[in-house]
Amino acid sequence: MKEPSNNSESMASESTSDAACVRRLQRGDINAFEILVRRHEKAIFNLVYRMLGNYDDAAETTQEVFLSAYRAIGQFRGDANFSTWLYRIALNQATTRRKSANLRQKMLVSIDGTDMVDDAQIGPAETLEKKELRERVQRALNELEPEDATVILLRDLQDIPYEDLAQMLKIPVGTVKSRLHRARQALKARLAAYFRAGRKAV
Amino acid sequence: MNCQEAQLQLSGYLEKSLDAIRMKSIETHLSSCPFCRAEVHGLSDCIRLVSDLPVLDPPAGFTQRVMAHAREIELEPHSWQRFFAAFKVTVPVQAAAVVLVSVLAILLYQRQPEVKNIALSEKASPAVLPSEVEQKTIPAAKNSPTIASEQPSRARNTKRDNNDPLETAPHPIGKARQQSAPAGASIKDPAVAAAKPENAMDKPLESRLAPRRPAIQAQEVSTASDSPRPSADALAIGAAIGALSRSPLRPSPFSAETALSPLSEPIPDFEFVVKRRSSARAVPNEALRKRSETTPVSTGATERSAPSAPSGPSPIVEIRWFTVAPEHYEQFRKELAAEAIIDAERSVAAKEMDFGLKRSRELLIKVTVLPSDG
Repeated sequence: MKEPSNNSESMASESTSDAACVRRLQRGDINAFEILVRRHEKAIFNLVYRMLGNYDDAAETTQEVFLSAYRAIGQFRGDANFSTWLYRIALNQATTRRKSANLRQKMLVSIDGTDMVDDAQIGPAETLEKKELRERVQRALNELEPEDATVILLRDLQDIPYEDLAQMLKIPVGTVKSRLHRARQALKARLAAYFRAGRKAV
Repeated sequence: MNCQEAQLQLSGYLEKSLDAIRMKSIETHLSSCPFCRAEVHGLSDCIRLVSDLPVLDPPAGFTQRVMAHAREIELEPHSWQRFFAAFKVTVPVQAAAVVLVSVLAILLYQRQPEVKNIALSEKASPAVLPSEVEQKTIPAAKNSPTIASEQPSRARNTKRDNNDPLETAPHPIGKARQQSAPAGASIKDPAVAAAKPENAMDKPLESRLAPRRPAIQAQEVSTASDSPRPSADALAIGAAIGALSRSPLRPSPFSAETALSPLSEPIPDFEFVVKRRSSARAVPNEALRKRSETTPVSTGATERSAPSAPSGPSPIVEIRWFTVAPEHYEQFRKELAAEAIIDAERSVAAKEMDFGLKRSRELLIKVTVLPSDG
């Protein structure tokens, strides 16, 4: 049976749900994997990109996330959602990548604003000011502890419910909330410093 | 509510995830606390800034690239892997390989009677003779139990050792056993059993036993015999080839390989299966036997030697090893053909015959000598 892989999102029927695709994939149907990749690649890529702050590294890491998931699909037991499981892989890989010395170097370079790739996908109406602001936010995220950046991105960028966050991070919901609050305060402190510096510069 | 309590719940307040009573009490506090109001503004700015970050598309062709890589990954475990996985038994590839090689080795070993015979006879007779030209004729299994594995290395060490005038193993039981190739040479050519002056300096042993320096002195090591026999019964190819030589002064291009245990048997470049010519063994036996009996037992190295077995002709499969310089190979083959009937031959390692240029090392030749038909 052939699955049209492109319109899987619109018709997430019984046979194209994540769980069904995982079952098909576990039986060796590689087309089911393509459905899963297309469905989740954008969210995973953006999470990884914001964690790394570098487009090429993000593309490479995201690819590795999907291939890791593919290799390990036999171990996926369906205890959690596939997306939760996939996010967990992505967080692990992005965190590891982020910690690598190589990337640290690149992140420092990108603070100069030369390595931000947003431009291509931003309309001409975007003001320079907004672009600068985004760059500052990204730099602040880069400077946060990885787990702080993670929880902020998952909650505020990706809008993932607390319950799923708790499962993903393997911590209780209450702990997620307090960690998120602490992380936001850290981000606010970073941004406040930038804002102050900006005001001084002006 | 004080500021400290309020601070902890500001995130929840901003997300409106608190219950109604708490929401109300936070609002009340904020209305009266400019510090907490500023904090709320800062936090909500942060949330907004992050959630306003543009969502980017992955690079073009991302899905195709992932799928292309995924197709290269062999995903489904084989059924036997699942079988082992079910029992949580891990079978490392290395372990499997070791088992496979062991089984193959045992099978090969059992399939080759000659190899087996070598092992048996070497176990029985430990004769290790420090001579370039030694010919060990090993009696059958029942004689002296010693460690066969010592043989190859010792023999190799003494390969070029020409110091001993003559290496002959002691023979506790009567019949003499030929121990050197020159002695073998004397089988075929008893008439020239005098010392050879040309090589006396560097090859005392040969000079004493081999009367004429054979141009192509195929010196041999017999590593197999499956029944007790007098060594003179062996195909005396070295002597035969020596007898055919036309230039006595030429240095020996063929040197004897050392004793080889079945486990360390090298891969020969050429393999021959020959049959003795029935006429080739009549007279020399007596001469050899006499020589061997009168041979002095020389060095300590030779004392660990093979006791002789009762003599008497019997069908013998014998394996002999020769090393021949590539340029002399054709000559060697010719002379081998003259000496014995070549049943079969094959080139094992060499792929081309023009080794004169391409091969620098000597050729290793294995000759399996079958008893004559006659």
